[in-house]
Amino acid sequence: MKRVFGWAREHLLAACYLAALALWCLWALGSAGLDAASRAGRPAGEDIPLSSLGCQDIALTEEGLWVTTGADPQFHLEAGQPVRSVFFATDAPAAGFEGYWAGAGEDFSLRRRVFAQQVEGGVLLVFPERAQTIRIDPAAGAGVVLGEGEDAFLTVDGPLALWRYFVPRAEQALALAALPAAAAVLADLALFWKGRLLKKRG
Amino acid sequence: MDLFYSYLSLAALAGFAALFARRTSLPAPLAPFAALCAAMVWFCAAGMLGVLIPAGWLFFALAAAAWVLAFVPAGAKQPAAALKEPGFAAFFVLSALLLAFFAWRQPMFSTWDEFSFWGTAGKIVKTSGGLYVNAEIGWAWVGTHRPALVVLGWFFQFFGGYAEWRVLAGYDILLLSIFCALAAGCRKNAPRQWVPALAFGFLLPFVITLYGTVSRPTDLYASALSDIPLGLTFGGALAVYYINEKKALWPTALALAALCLEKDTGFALALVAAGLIAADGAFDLLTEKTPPRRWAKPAAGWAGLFVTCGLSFWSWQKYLAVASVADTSNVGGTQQMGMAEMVLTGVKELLGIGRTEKFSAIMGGLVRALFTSRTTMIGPFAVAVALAFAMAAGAAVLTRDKALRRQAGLFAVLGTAGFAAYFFFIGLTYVYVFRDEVSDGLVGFERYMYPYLLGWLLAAAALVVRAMAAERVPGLLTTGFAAMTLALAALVWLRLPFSLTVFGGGSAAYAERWATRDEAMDVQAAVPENAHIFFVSQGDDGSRWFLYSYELYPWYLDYSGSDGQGGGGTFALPGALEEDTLYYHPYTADELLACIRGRGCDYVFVERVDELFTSGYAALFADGLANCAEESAVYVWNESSAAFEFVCNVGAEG
Repeated sequence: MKRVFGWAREHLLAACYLAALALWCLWALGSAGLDAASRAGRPAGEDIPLSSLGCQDIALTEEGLWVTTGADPQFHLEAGQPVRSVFFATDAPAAGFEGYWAGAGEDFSLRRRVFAQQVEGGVLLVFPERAQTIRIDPAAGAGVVLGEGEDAFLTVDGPLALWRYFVPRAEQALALAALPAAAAVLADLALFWKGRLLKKRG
Repeated sequence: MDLFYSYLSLAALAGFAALFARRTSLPAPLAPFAALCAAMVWFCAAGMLGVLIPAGWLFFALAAAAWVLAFVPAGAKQPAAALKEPGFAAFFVLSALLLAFFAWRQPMFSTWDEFSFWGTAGKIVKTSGGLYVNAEIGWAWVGTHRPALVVLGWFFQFFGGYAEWRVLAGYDILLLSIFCALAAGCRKNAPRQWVPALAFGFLLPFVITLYGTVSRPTDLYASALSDIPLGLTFGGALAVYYINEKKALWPTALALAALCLEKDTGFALALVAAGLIAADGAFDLLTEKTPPRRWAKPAAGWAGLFVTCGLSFWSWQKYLAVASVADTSNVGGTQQMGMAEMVLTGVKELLGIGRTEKFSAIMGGLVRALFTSRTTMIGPFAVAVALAFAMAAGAAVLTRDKALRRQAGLFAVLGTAGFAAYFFFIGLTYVYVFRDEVSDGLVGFERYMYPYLLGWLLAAAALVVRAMAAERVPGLLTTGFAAMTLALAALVWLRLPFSLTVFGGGSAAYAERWATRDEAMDVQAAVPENAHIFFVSQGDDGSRWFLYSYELYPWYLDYSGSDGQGGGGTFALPGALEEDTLYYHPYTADELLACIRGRGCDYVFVERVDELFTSGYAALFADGLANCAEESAVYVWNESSAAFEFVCNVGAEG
């Protein structure tokens, strides 16, 4: 152990990044475990019809198509319980999709925003934390066809591959990049001042 | 594969950097910046001489030789030791990571100026293998801008195909090399020093060029514009000088030569830098009471800096005079003055001789803006000025190195004087060059000030970093600088949501660009490369026209409209719109046909139609424009039917 601390002291930056990586892995595994536990006993994935969602700038046309009709189309989802992911079966491009999540009493914010991934058969949004209040912006403008049929739906909390928990989302990536460096600076400063003050005293 | 090819360019750079580390006694972290500046100057010179491609091959051959010479013969000072220098290692690690990230994220150009010049010039150089001055472009192409940054973007795609992310990565790698040069003054095993030094550099563009709480995506670190690289190259040139204790001038000379070739205003900045360095050297010799006979060598060095700036600046002027038809003798604008005449007149007015009301109003407005406009994240420019002054003064006070104290003190004073001079110079351009509607509102004033502030703060940071090596109260300056950088990082985090930056944003920001590209590629597939294409995009303010000109190049998109108001706009019958409607081309159907045919356009690209166009000109098209009501379409001239025939729809729906 002493040798490990000795190495870490000599290589503060590398040690901080390694520690962050280890913590991140723990966090990812913990999130996957928590999700599994909260779903225990229930089938994975719950379908929610689009017609039951609050929406803005989106309409169901007479031809039975869900189409964006304005500059800022949105779906609002108040799930019964906190959810981790939303899958939207659509041919619309994932590049247009954004997801926002909010806690109780919070407004939606650019800081709590995730971008979607194109997956087979549609678009997947994964949130860094489980949330009950969710907003989905499916496109940046009017005229995008999102789905077909009155009974079109999206799926919340479907089965999620384990590796997806390891992908940093929203500001997690920033934290992983910047915080270990900041921690190394602070640790180095602390060690420096500790050494200096001890030397003075000694 | 393009990523691999970009790594080849980085590897070539590494060869020269390794040779620098092996064969010079200068700090290794200065090497990447010096090598990049040398590459920019090399490729500019080659471009002007018309041998860009051969010079590229020679560059890579020389880089291979540099790799060998850096390691052979085996000696005590192996370049691998440079990797222990955090600034040197960080440059290559961060550059490699950045290239990989950009290859995945694929950032794109997003601003008007990138399509009207910087990006288009980059594409021309990659496509044609030569400079862009006389490129055949549909608009009144202003190819007189300087080429250093354009060829820098080209260098990172010497191998492989053209891609915007590779241009953008080239710009960022230049900035990274400058930040890493800062770390040269730091102790090796002390992240408390070099991490804040790197971070300070990285944060500077955010802190200085953004203000308020940012709510729209920013293109910082994903931009091919010149202001930020210009300012930081200026700062880098000074930082390289202040950090190398031997005061070797050649890396600075390289940086100044590159600076003069980045943009016209780079010359003014380079002269300020050369002046600061000459004053620093002279002050040092004076205080050391050096006998006059020992002044000759250093004085020749300072003169060399000025000569380098002059030669570098002049070379492009000379090249333009030979290669371009554009008149480059005056700075243009409302008064048609030469640069020297403008400065002389300005100084006279400043002293009260023949001062005009316009001069007083504009200069007064600029001074007020200095103190009141929220132009940086930390407040008005005056706050940034105070910060730069305080950093240099802090370095002077908190170091025990007497020579450095003199240097930093002098820099605090002269840097401020340089700012005043630059500020005055920018003011003069508002008085004498810009049109009244620009100068009355001081439009873009902050953009012109950013380069000096960025460079000045970076150079001040270089002095702080050097002072950290010999602190009067050990640890005090280091801790203070780290705390300041941490505070700036917190400020940037609070003001700028991560998802609005290129590092945290999604693909949505580029969705429209990709759609445009798909459409342009369909047009290219439908039209022969040597044909001229007429552009119709009703309601366009010119931006879509610039965008498509860029996307379609080397296909030729015609100026498409009356010369005074060409480049996109609205076509409609005479009288259909108010005469002074912006970009309104009032044509009868016959006139429009004569215009299209007169310009030699066999193809018409109808990007967007409206009722005005359909009702006025449907008769010119065989299908009566039925095929482009919903989607963009391409039409071709048919001589026998004397009408434009429908070729195909283009774009995602086409």
